Amino acid sequence: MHRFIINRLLWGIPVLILVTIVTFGFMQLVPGGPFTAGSEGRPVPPEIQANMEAKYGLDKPVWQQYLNYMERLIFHFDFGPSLRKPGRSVNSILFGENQVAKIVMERLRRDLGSEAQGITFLEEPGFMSTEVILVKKGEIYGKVKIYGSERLEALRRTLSTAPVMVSAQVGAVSLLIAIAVGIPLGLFSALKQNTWIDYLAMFISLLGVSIPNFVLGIILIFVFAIWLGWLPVYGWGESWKQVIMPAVTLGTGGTAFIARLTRASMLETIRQDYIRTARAKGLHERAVVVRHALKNSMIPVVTVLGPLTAAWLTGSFLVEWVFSIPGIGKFFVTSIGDRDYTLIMGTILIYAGALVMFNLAVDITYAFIDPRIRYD
Amino acid sequence: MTVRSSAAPAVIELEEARKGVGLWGDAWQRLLRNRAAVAGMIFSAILVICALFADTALIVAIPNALGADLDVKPLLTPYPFNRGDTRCNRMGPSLLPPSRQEGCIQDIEKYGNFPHLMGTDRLGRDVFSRVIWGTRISLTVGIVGSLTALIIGTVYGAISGYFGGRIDNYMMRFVDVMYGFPTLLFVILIMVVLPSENAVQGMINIFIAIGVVGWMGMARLIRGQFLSLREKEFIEAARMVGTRPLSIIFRHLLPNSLGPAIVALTLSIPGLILTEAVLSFIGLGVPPPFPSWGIMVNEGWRGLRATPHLTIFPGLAITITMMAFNFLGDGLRDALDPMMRGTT
Repeated sequence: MHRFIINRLLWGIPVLILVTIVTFGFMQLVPGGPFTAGSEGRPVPPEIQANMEAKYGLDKPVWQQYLNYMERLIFHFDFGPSLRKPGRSVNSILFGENQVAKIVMERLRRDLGSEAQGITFLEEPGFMSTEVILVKKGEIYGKVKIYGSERLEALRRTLSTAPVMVSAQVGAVSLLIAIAVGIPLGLFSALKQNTWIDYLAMFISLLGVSIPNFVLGIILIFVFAIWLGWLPVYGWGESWKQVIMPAVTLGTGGTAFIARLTRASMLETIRQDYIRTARAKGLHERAVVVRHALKNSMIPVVTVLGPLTAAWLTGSFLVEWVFSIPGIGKFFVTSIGDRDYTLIMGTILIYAGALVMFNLAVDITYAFIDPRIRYD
Repeated sequence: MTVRSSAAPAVIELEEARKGVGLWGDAWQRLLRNRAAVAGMIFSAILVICALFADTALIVAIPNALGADLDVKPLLTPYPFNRGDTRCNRMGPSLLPPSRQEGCIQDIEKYGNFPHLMGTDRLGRDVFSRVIWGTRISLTVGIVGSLTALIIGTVYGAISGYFGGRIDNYMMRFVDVMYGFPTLLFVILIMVVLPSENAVQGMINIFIAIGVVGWMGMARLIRGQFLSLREKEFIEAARMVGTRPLSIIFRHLLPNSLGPAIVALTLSIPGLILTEAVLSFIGLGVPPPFPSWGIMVNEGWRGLRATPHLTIFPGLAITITMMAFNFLGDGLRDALDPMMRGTT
């Protein structure tokens, strides 16, 4: 078993390297670069563009850029500087540096309201939030969004949580929902096959599979935040209530899929001979269902949970956009639009790494579920 | 058990009932017995009609090609999708014609007087008409995208599955690597790479992007079918009598893989519709003059508090459409392959 785990972990390395190569190649194909368009879409003079490219080493041959990048990544775990967010490294964007958060917070406390000293408020139409740009020694130090200027405490918590962790928190709650709701729903509808319980459960799960993330999120906001007023509309870090709607939005599709999968797998399992044997030797119905049937029908569910977990824990663009959550999901889309090569690479690597890890976890789980599966 | 005692006569009865009904006829009968699938089928048919006859473009196309000068006008929809009376913007849904609605001063001479069933958007355009028109984009993406995926996937999977061995191994590893990328990310990358000068080009780009990511599942399915089928006795028999490989592929292997392929095709349509809606929602999809449901949700959700109808109706349209195709696909699967009943 140990050898298997180590073996598989080692296999993850060439996979991740392949991902970096393909991503690097793709970025060369994408027209335009990080410095072809200025802040408001104005064209950048070619001299400045060349200087910028020289600064970040983009003028070198592609293979050399790649090797430099990989060297930094492997030996220093450094994802490089962000090309479009001046003065920030990809590491600090994704993993956040609590040190930075602290300094930003201190500056904000001291300087709030006195814009001249280095804080600029940008009103963003529609969002009803305030974007704050912190300037230090003439350079943009950081950009944060606050929802109402008095909510400093929320800002502090948001800042002290790394974006990776924010996404992971939403994903983890979604995962809990998927497991705690999806599996029982599928189980009961399989046990009550062709009754109204089954039909209702399957109708609900088909609805769950069919409703797009963003539509569900907006409907939830409309019903629970605007209409009933039970939950906050958006935001992060102020209250545990803010995690409910994003997590439900993210988790519904997967929950419904897991319910359908559990049902299908259960229906197949309960027709197996060993279930009949278990019943024949007089086992409790509950023992038969839980210990024998459910456990054995979890193989396809666990298989799906692997990639699902990887995708959920690394954040969802739509959910983070709709609910204004400071996670890393948004970088999956914005970094491509910005041509922020290092940030694209960072986000894809995080996802691919999570995928490798959770697929390994799936394989290990197999051995626990089904003793027939061995890895020696 | 009761099943054992009644099984034998039931089989005979069924055999009689099925006399003269082929495999497909049989599947059709089973499909018709599934109420959810029939509902899905009817709704899908309505959507197709909406998509085809939202305006008179289809009816006018042939006379136009022959030189007649006919205007394209709304046919199934009361209003055009791209024009509206801005004085009548952001109106809530109503069953009353505009002339009898308080506060509405719509130019009836110009735009007509049909009730705004789903209200109007910020430019005074009729949401109901735009939702109907939206079916055209969603269905085209769904059907063209899944057909593209079917063609690429079938060719790829057939080659891989028929030859097997090393070729199969390499071809499938490539599919594995392609699977390693998040779908949405991949589509976005393709959309960014492809040039889009005008709206039509933008539409075509979406088809390409969606087709390119959709074929992998189909390739795996066809390859799996081929791998298992080519070991069957009837293929061996065909080989033995000297049938050529192409003939084996087209006459024997492909028709036998068709059932699962059709099921996968139907079940892939909602996924493609979703991808298009998501792309349009985040502003990377269909360019604005076209009324895509995703764009409509995007245009509406910032004003959710004041004008929820701008978001809710197109959102419901996406959901119901996806449900209809999912029901139809589930039903088709149960009908074409009773052994697989209930599997996801």
